Amino acid sequence: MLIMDKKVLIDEHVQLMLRFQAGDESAFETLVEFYKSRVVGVAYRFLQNPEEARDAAQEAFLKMYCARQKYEPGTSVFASWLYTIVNRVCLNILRHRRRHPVQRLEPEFGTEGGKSGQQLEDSRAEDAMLTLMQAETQAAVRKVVAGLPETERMAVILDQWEEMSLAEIGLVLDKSVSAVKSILFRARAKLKIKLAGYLDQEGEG
Amino acid sequence: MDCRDYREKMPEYNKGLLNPEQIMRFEKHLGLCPMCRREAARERRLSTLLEGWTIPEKELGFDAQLAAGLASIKEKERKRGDRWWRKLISPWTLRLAYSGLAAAVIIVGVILAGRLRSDFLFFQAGNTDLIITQEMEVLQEFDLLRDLELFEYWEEIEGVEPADKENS
Ligand SMILES: [Zn+2]
Repeated sequence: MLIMDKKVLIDEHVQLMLRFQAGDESAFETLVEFYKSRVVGVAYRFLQNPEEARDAAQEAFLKMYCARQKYEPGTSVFASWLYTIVNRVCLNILRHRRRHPVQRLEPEFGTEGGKSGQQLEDSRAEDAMLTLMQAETQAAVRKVVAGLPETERMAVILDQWEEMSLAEIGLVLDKSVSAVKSILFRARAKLKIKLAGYLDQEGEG
Repeated sequence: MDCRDYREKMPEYNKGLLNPEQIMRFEKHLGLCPMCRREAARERRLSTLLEGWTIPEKELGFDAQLAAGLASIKEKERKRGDRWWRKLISPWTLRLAYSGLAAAVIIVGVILAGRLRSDFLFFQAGNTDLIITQEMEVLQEFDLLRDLELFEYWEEIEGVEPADKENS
């Protein structure tokens, strides 16, 4: 989501939500269409399990449907309101996971542009190396993000991949702007320590 | 501003959220401070590294489950909507009901507090016998005090003087 388009989008989505509140179901469908991959993405990075992420997204949209009358445009931008629901659903899934630890299988992660063994052989050695390195780096990133405490993890996800402002993240996490600032500062400091090997490789930019 | 302040501002600098004057000051400091310059580069590389974690398109797909879930919710809502009193529930009627409830609690509280206070003032003014008469009336109403013996016993424990008794 480009920052420049954001204001336009916010107004548009608030209008859609108000239309949905008034009974226009097609407005709900439009919102789901716009946000579904974003919501799955947030849940995917937070839970790091593709199946749970899809369940979380679906539950979040159903909750959004049921809670439509509780939405008040004055108090929060639409995305913050939606991600507040997503955050709660994700936390519930984590709680459930902690209570039933044995039933969970380790997730199978795919990587963008990931290739099968045969494809790897076919492509040039340089490409294969690059893909391997990318996969390795992504695995490292996944691991350190998963290691962050829940609030820090959600703050980093909303800041880094959803490009939300500190105020918007604050609405999702029920924190002040200055609190979000220090949460992100702390989280990024941890990430920099754990990913130091990847950050210090290259020369100073 | 010292290095700590600049480090705090680093994410905003990297996202281009600072104003031109702040950017000028920031870059002047970076030119002079190798530690902050290194940190700014690390911040940028961390963002690039995180950005590199993409999600395969197939994982973002949404199944027909949502449609099924929605259908069952709509069915439930339709059934609920058929009950007449449900139609009265809206954020405004709820607010009205809550404020009505709060007002009732306050009124009852004020009445009770007023009664306790007037009893206390009455008692303080030395009208102990009248209080007892009031209590008596209550007890009589309940038909619990018929014989005099019990009345005398009551006087005894309250320490009412015989002279006062004549007044009542
Ligand atoms: Zn410095």
